[in-house]
Order: sequence, then C-alpha cells, then structure tokens
Amino acid sequence: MVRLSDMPEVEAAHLVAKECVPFATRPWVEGPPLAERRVALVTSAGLHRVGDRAFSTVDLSYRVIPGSISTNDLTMTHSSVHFDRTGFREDVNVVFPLDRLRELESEGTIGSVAGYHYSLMGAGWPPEAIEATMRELAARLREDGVEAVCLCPV
Amino acid sequence: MGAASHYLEDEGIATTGISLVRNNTERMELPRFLWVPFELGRPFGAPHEPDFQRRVLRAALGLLERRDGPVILEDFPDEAPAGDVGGAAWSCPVSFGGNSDDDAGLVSEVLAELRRLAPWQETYVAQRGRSAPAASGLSHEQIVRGLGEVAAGARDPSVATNLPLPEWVRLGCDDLRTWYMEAAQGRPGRATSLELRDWFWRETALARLIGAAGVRLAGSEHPALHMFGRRAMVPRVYMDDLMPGVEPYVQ
Repeated sequence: MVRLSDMPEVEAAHLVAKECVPFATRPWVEGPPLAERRVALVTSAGLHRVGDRAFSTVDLSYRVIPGSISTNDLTMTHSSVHFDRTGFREDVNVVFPLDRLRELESEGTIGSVAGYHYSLMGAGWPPEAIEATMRELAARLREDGVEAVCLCPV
Repeated sequence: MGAASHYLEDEGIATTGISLVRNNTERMELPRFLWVPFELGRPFGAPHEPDFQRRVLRAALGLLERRDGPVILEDFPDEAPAGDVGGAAWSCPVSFGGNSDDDAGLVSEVLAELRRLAPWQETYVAQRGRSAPAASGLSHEQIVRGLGEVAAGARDPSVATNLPLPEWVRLGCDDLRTWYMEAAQGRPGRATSLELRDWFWRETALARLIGAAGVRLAGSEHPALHMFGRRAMVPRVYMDDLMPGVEPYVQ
C-alpha cells in the first residue's frame, strides 16, 4: 500500500510536496550482462552495524556495510517516524536484501556481491545536498570493482 | 534515492532502484526504477518472504539489462504477501486505561505501562532469540523521566548523556517504541503493521508523553528544536490527537 490515493491526506500531501525536478542532464550507463556484474546495495534507511555511530537528526554522512556481515548485526537509526520498522526488526531483508543478493550470486543471476555496501539516511534532502556524498561513494564503489548498484529506499 | 541514481550514473556507475512513491520518481525522469506497491518501510514487500523478496530484487536488477534508457520506470505487478497476518486474532498487550493530564502523572503512567508490558517483551525475546539493540545509551526510566522534564518545559533536562537534546530524545523514543512493539508482537496472534502502529500511537501513555514533549519542543524559540518538535516526534497522521494545535511539517 503506497498508492497516494490509499494514504491519509496529510501523509500524501507531504510526499507530493517534495521537490522532484528533473536534472539538466540524463546520464545513462550500460554494462556487461548482469550475470557478469559485481553488484552493491545502497540504502537510505539509516542502517549501520550495531556499535557504529548512530545517524544524527541532520546527517549527510554514510556508513559502510561489509558484504560479509550477518544481517542480524545491522540496526537502524533513521530519524523519521513516518514508516514501518516492525518488518525490518523481523527481517532485515525487507529493507536491505543482502541475503537475497547472495542467493542471486549463488544461482548465477549476478556475477558477484560487492565487498562493501553503503547506507545513508534519506530525510527529504534537496537533490544537490547529497551530491558530494554520492560522488565520494562512487569512488569507493569503483575501487571495489562494482558495475551496478541497487538503490533501496525506505 | 532519485538523486543518488543521477550522481552515480554521472560518475559512470549503472544503477537500478526501488521506487516507493511513483509520482515523485516519474517527475524526476531517472535511469531505472521499479515502482512497488508496498508500505513505506518495506521496499522488498514483507518479512520472512524470501521468494517474494528475491522476485522483487530480480525484477529491479533485470532493468540493468535494458537498453531503452535514459528513463525507465516499471511497475511491479503484485501486492506484498500478507504473511504477517492470520491465525489467532491479535489484541493489544495490556489494558491501560490511564488518562493523566499532568506531566508527573503521565510519567508514572508510562513507568507502570513498562512494568505491565515487560512479560510480553520477554516473551518476544524468548520467541525470537534476540531484541533490537538500544541506541540511546539510556535506561528506559531515564528516557521517560527526561521526556517528562521536556514536556514540563525544562530547558536543560537532567539526563545523564553527552548527546544533545534532540538526539537523546529521538534515539530514546526509538528505543522505547521498538521495545513496545516487541512487547506487542510477543502477544498471541499476528498483528499487521498498521494495527501495531495504531495501538502504539492511539492507546499508550508513552505516545501521549512523546506528544506532550513534542508540543513543548514545537513551541521552542530555538528554530532547530521547533522544527524537530514538528517533524520528528509523532507521525503526521496522529498529530491532531497527540499534538493539538501544532501544524505538521509538510515539505
């Protein structure tokens, strides 16, 4: 259920009011077949390893999630109170499907799972606010040989 | 995530992603997104549904094989499975019944609520073998008494923490809310996420205490505290009841 028509009016109004202007350019990158690509997950759910710094209320930093981590070792400190967290507490994969990605690697759907994945806290930033963070992440992803990223919102 | 896709593609890294709000993704004209008709907070559908989660992930990754860019927005065809509903009917953990209208009474009510809920939270831990880690570094009683001080208008609540006020309030409320949800899920029967959310925000003294603290923060002359009170304490849909007179923040 996230059809705007199904949501309470005040929630739908908030979502629709977000600035969503197209960028001036439309970059588009292609690559080898999926079965040959190294894939990383990037989430905006404010996830991090238990014991890492919590995200603060206003926070444009990122956290590193090792590809080898047990998903039970992840926690969430997102600042929003407007989305369900009970699903995440039951099964991290409903937000951050790292176990599923590993299964797709095992069955040969993707080439490999990245060594590192990344987490941000998406909190309605204007698009340009995260440009520096994303360009830095791009460098880290390239170092890891990543050829495709799956973006996971919350 | 829309801006993230643009900047990563601009750096030469191909992206695909999940869209939870189709209208917004469509307006941004982005490289590859799969819109899913799922609840906010559940972009891959439902917990403990690995086959379904894998289908969603495979559909999103499949967009990477497409060559008809630079703007692709596909719709996932299926609703999330209702695997967390069914069996015995769920009922709220305990009957509270309190209705204190002063801050000290409300703090006492919340502390009593914690005691009554504890057996069900312990049941949850026994069933699942784990509990969510706390993030605030504070005990439940410290958080509750601190919120009571905020609700009463204290400028510098006596909470033993190095965190600034908005951070310990936010993380402390998260710790308590998570613990309450675990208690609720420790009850027989399976509740939907909406039932859990409604129970917490409509029926617990803790929600009223968070609302009272939120009203006080929203009334602050300090711009950051004012904004924090309006947007980070109570979901917009419950603010009329819990934070009367405070205008929800709509971006």
